Amino acid sequence: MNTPPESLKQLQTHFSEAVFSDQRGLIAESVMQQGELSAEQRVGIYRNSVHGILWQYLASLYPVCNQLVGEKFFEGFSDLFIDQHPPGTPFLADYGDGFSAFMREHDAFAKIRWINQVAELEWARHQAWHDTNQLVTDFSLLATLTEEQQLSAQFQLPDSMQILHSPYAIHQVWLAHQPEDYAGKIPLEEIQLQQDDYIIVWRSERQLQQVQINEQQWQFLSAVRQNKSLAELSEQFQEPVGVLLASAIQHGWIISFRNY
Amino acid sequence: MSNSKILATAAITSVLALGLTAASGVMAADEKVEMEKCAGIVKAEMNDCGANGHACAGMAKTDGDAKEWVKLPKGTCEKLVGGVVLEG
Repeated sequence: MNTPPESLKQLQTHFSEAVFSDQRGLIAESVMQQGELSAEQRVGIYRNSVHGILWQYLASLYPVCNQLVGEKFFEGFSDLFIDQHPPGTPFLADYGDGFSAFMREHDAFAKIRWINQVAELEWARHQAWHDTNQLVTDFSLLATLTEEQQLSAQFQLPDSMQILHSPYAIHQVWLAHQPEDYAGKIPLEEIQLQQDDYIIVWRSERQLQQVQINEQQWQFLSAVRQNKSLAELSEQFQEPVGVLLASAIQHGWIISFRNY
Repeated sequence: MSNSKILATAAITSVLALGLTAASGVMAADEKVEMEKCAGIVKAEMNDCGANGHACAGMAKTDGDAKEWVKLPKGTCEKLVGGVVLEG
């Protein structure tokens, strides 16, 4: 009795399984052998090609992590990640989320947890870069609001704004791996790793901005992101609220407001 | 006047004191600028979209690569040293 032909869906499923795992048996039944290469070897060419592209892509997303663990380890670790987290959308820029969580679960990183925090920073940079640019509001319009409207006003961060907190000095680690001479950059071996870091990353026109802020600024921007009104921000931050707000607007960390 | 109201009013005053008005580059929503792809003038990591064997914006590896491009208002590219307008 002849085996019924595979449906297109089955064929695609088996091909995907072959590309993202070592299970090449099922797809090999549907692939012709040619020349000296077996069906499994021919499918393997596709697997290597897909893995190669995704590994290079991950290396470009996580360049500091790549340097920290070494290219050879990074490639092997990426292979594991790619098999367990194949792309879920046809847009490559979506790929790579969860890499830091995958690191956190892996035994190899048990004693170097700070590296997966660096991965979170690198993913935040990627997300910020791929968000849209927005126009900045004319803040002089605040003067036209009534007192009640001013109190209920809510402020908006750029959509690209990523607000991070880490128990490790990941901003310094990131700086230490950049070729440019940024202010405050020190060699990796001189960095005191165990210290809280508050960082924001956002996109301004065609520039990606990454700035270390203090804990109060971090709390303020987090509160703004929660859509707290000016009255609520004043209640929470008391006297520093004026400086926090003006400084955030001046630096481009707040780009507009709305009132109800 | 409650303490929060006083603080909020002072905060608004601080913002207004900055004298920030709309950015000079702000355009009206209905104003459209025709754009074109301009290659050969892009700094590393500043390119638009996929080209040159990589998949992503911001992945150009060198300054001024002949295959990397950014979108510019039409007519700008021909004024730039090394700028080449790409079709499409």
